[in-house]
Amino acid sequence: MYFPGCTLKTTALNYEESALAVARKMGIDLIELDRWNCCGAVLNLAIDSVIHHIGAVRDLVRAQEMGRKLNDNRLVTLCSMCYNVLKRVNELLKIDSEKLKTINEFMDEEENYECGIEVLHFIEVVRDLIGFEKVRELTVKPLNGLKVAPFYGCTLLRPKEIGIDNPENPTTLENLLEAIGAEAIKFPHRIKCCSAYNVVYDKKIAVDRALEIRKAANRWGANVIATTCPLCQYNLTLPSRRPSIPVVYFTELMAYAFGIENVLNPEVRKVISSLLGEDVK
Amino acid sequence: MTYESTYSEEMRRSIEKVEETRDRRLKEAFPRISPEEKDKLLKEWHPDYRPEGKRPLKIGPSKGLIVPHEVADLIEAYPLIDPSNIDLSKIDYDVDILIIGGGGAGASAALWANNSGIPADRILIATKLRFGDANTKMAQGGIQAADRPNDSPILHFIDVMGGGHYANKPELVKTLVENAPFIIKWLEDLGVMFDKDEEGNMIELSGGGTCRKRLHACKDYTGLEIMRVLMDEVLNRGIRVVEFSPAVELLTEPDTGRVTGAVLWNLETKEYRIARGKAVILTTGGFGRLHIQNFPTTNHYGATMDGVVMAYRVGARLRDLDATQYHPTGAAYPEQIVGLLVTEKVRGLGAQLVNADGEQFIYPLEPRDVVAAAIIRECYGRNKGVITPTGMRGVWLDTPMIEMIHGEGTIKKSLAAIYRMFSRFGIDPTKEPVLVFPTLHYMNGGVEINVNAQVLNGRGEPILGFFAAGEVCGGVHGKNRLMGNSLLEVTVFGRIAGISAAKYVQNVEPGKLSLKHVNRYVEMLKEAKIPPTRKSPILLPEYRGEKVLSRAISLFAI
Amino acid sequence: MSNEEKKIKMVKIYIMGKMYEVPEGLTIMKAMEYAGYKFIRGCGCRGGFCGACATVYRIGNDYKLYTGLACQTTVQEGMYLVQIPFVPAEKPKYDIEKLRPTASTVLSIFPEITRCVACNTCTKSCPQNLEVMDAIQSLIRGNLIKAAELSFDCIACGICSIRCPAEIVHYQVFQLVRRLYGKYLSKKAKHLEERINEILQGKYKEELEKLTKMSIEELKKLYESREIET
Repeated sequence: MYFPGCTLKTTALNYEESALAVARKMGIDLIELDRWNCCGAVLNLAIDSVIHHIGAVRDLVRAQEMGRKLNDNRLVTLCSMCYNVLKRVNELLKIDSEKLKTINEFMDEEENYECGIEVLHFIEVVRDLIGFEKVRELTVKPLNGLKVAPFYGCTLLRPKEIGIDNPENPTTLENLLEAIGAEAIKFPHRIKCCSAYNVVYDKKIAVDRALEIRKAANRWGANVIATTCPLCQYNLTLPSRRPSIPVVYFTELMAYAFGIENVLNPEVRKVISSLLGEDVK
Repeated sequence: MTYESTYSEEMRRSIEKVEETRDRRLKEAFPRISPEEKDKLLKEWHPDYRPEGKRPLKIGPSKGLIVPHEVADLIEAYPLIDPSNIDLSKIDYDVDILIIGGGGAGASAALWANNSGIPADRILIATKLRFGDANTKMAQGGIQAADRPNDSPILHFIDVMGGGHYANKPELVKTLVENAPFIIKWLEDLGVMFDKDEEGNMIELSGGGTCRKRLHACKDYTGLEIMRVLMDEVLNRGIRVVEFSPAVELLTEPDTGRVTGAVLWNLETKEYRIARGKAVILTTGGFGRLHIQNFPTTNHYGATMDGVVMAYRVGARLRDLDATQYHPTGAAYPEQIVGLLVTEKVRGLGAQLVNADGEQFIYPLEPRDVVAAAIIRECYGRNKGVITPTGMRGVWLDTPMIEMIHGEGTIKKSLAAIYRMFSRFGIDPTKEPVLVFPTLHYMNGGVEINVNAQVLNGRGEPILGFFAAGEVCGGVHGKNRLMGNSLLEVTVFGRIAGISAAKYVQNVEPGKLSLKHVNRYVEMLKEAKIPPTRKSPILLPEYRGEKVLSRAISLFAI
Repeated sequence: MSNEEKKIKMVKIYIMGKMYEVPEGLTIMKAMEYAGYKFIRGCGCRGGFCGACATVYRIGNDYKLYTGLACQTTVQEGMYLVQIPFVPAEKPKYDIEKLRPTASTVLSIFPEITRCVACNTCTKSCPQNLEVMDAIQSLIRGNLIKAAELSFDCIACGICSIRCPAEIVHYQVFQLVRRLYGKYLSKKAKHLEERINEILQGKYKEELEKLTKMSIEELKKLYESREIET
């Protein structure tokens, strides 16, 4: 089952399209949840205010209902923020039975949530379910010459309890990039925070941080940054001083490598093409 | 969850007969009524044709006009206010255009007065209840306009005249039909969500008495959708609306008879306020809450014919008030919703009217007065009606047929309001037919206007400064209105009233205010020996329990 | 109807805490009138369309809060009720001609929508049984069409807004969404424009003039010879 999240349906449609196409190529069927609501993003993790968890729990209940029909309890997300929220709420309720009871009693119009859903980020699915060997096999256009700086996005790695990889020294994105033929640039800022919602409260922080990250990627020789989260993508490309460097989603690179670049947003496609030195079709 | 019927046993037995005949009836087309049979049916069974229910007016510009007793009782009645207690020198609202009545006609008039250049703060809508509390909101099935290639305003005209028994004022009908497509476009541009197909073509249905499918609808909440969009736009523009302030009397200029304002009364604080308008537009709606001939009604709480009463006192001519429209299908069961509208769209989508034995007895889409008379004949003449546990009689409207003709889910989608209304009381119209009986619905007649929406006096001349639009007017529908022409009337003539009034105020000063016409009217009442016990307008109907009323006393003067 | 005195069964209801005995089977509205209330506020169309008579109630000692329209809800023994005839919310003014039909337009006029915590209280309160929260959520993720469809049957009674922890005024939001949909997102009817042009060019002028002057006999002939579209 697939949980899109609000941003994927509005400003990050390209992320969703590339991911669904890539998934199909790898033999995975991502089925969108029938009815879903905003997970609430980070605000839903305020632990003393139970009502803020409700949105995320409702999505888990929907997954529980749909999962019964599909006989599958896995809920995949593309947005790292959504992943973080859904997974953390899920884990919280698994250990705090009081909170689970309170929430279930409040949400009396839904069935009780039984904590049986497994929340996954799409990149985990690629890594663990499909495996990078398969990714290598499916690569028809190795992205030789592309120097990609992986930007994990902090919500994918932290807190440790739900991170998909070692928060200090992850390897998932690097291995993936290698599998699709690109050169992974392991720059130190790859595990830093893009500054997340600070962009709303104090834009200067976000702009400065983004500049720092781009400068570093540039210094280390990258010609493109690959990310897993629409908020990171937004923050890193905030207009400001040079250097500017394209920021794409890892699924968009995969789509190009798999030879299905026709699903890509034309802008993104052009960027990758020209970086590879190919003629733009 | 299995569906359990909440109908009584006797009613269930009748439903079984309906179910037995259904398949056969799906292919059966009941023949249309001949003109001769129609005349006979109406004369013998339509409540309007009972002479005991009416009498001629004793006074005023339309003296001698035959009207129902309930109407005459209000017209031959004394004013609520004593003119000597009203201080007209202090003006509380001073505007260019005063609109009395906040329904579809009032809102349309306000918008078009504004479109014609009158600033928003020079327009005032005074309404008895909330803005939008009007019969407009309750119209369900649709609004007519001849905008398809196989239709034309010519056919629309003929339908309206025929439906109205040729008693309509022809030039008003011409105005109605030739403005119709423009009004639809205006509403579309305002953002009204009409039912459309994927290409954007309007989905149009048949109505009673229409020879073409020209009813535009918004599911079965057409009136609600149109009213709320109009309200939204009026408020966006900053046009002022004063609520819970009905007009209790109009104001006139003593020498010219020009209508120059109104006395408003705050229902909540009992304070009276003087409103002066260079032009006054009357859009007060109908008279359902007078319960003509004791019928239940589909109308909203405030439909008490205030406008006709006030207009008559300033000399307006009335017409066609002897023609009361009874909507053939008001709910007849359960008791809690008796009289509420079951839209004609239900018949437009194929549901047939069926008696207690499961047989059709009239073509469902004859004009409303014909169908109403036929149902009354079936229940009281032929005694083939269904009788409910509370003694109410009715016939079946076979709604499950709609699902069979148009597919499962049609009722939930296109007749959401009906579905909801009956489901609340345990009846599923997709599974069982609903019981219906005629209910008091529309005031066919009213104040007479010309094509510029000016109100006419007894000599047929426009009364200066006085305009009217909507159900309060007579002449557009003759003796019987077709479905979908009421929403059309309020918008077409509301617009015209707004534009006409805007034009009128360009060249006039605010008029003098007086209640002299009221004094004159009182003289007329006294001369005709009308007892002073009756007062009007009544503003709101009296529904309080008798037990309480018999012990209720007023302890303070105000 | 028999002439014998009918024994009417009575039920006890509590109007704003005060006990009244009213006949069984009445709607809340008629029961309040039976008890002697003459409505000024809280009564509109009496038929379920205008949202004037929104009522909130409990039954006996049950904690559960229910909502309904007074004109469409039958009284029950032990009903503890109050009407909510008005919800405080001044309507923001906007010029529909100048707006773009996007979620961000709606969010800029009603930014509090993003405070929605998806608690579903609005849906549970709606007397029309609409999926109110889903409509708001559809809007948050940019799907105006779905929001317009889900909110169409809204009668603006305001109960959702009074109970919303995020203080959203749902019915005002939905009104804007629906107008944006009707005006910009729904395709325009071409046949309508064509007919208007024909009328403006005077295609029907002469014939209509003729018709207004016809005698009743002539009109009758035309009326009775119409071909009816089925």
